[in-house]
Amino acid sequence: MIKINFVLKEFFYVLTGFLIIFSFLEFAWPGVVLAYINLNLILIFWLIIGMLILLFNKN
Amino acid sequence: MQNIFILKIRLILWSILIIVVGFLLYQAIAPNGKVKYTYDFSKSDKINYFINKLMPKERIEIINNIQAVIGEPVYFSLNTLRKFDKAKITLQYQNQDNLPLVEMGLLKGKTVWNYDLKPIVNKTLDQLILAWSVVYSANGEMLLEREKKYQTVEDFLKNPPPINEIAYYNYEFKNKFFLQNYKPTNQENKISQQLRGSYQFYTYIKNENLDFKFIFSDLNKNKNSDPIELNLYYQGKLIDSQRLDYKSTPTDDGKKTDHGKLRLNMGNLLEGVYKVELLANDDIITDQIIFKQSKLSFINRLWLAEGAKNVEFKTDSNIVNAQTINPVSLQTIKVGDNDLILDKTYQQFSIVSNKATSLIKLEKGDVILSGNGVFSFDQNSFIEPVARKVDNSLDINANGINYVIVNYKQPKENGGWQVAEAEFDLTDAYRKYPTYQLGATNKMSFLISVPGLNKENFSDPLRSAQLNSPNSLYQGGTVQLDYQDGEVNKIIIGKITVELSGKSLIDKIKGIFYDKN
Repeated sequence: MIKINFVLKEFFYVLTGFLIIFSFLEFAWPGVVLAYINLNLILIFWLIIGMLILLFNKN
Repeated sequence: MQNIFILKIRLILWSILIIVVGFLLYQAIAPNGKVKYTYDFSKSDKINYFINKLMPKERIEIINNIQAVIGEPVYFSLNTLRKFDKAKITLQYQNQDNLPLVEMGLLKGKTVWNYDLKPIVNKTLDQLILAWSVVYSANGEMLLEREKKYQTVEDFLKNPPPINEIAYYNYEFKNKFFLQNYKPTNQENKISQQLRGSYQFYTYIKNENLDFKFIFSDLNKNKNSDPIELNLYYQGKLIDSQRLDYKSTPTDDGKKTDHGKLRLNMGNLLEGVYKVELLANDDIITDQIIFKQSKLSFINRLWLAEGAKNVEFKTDSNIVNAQTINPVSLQTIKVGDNDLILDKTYQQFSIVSNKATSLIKLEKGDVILSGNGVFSFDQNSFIEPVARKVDNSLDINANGINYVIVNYKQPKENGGWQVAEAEFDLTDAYRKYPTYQLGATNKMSFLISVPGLNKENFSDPLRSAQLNSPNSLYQGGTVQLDYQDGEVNKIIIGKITVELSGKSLIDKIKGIFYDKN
């Protein structure tokens, strides 16, 4: 269980990195990310992982 | 042990991030200067960032999950992440209704929405290629001759036949047109009929100054800044340009105000035909044109402003189109001996005439007149200096055309689809940029034009094509296109593929250093 929590945390960190870098790229060069990747899906995935981490921490 | 596992996971995940960012930047920069985008219209729900859906929706019908164009023109935009110089567009389509002319265009300027049109299919040419003698040049140009006279395209260009025997299509035919027995009068002439928006005209110069004065007013119907651009061309080259930017605050109160004057005055010009182009939006009225030339013919289109009464034009246009947005201007227009009934606003009415020239008589103004020829207010000032364009309204036989010079590739057949290619120069395309950005994202607009395909009118372009075909039985007369209710004609669009090419990253870097030296 602890191992899953650690892995989820790593996913959460890297997805945060994805969101920050993609947002910056998209702001600086419109379309460079959105032409290929739907940021909404990454955001939803990031939120789900965040909620799972909170759930594991609570348990 | 657990730390090593976490470290491995971390390394993998962050490597993915770096690879994804690298991929996105590679795609955006396109280091080799080439990129290809495809939109398969049969997958209607698919979102494509680069090639947008065909618009407006009202002119598109979805038939069995396939997009069919039922009205024209339709538009699509192309988004690119960097600048490219050329675009080769491949259109996969089905023309089951045998529509005579399909063209694709790139938006070059927004003031008058001018598009650089390239052929997709031209049925008149397809028929001529089968029936006439064909000569190809090394550059891919094609000379079609009713009876074989010229061995090469170069021979034809060196020693061309009379201009009234020549037609062209997608080819810049630079003929030297001279009027025999022309003498400059140096007398002041005036066009006092008010004209709305943009227009172009030809004039003729021989041992005289080119002298035109334009007096403008502003209808103030929209809040745009209303700039006016005046360009003078000789043999297709821009030789003078003037601009009038009105400095007061733009209003939309509907009160007509003075908008200033422009004057074109040039001496020491070579003898020949000159083209004057006025670019302005529909708020601008040209109140008067005062000039010393004796020849003046408006090209293809002009908008006679409100207030004009009993106006006459001479035209050589095979098709005369009329449209008004003003209910007061509904009328019957005389085109030769025939009547063109303009009984609805916001709808274009057309009449086909295969006479060499016709006289058009209008009772009232605020009518947009257009066609495939020239229009002149005065019969004596009429000048027809260019070859005819092979479009869907040109009757090759009735107009006595014996030679056609074209730059045209016939569409190919591929699995039940027709496939045509069109190449565009993007360097002077009109581009829309996001208001904020560091990168070079930009948006260009294209259209697909199918003259005669009119959803509102349920027109019958096939009938129009038959009337104007080289083998048409109908010659030397005039007929109004009577639109009939029935099955809507359509063009089915299967796929659009855009191959873009431009400077490579290495060329760009070299350019920076080369420019600095």
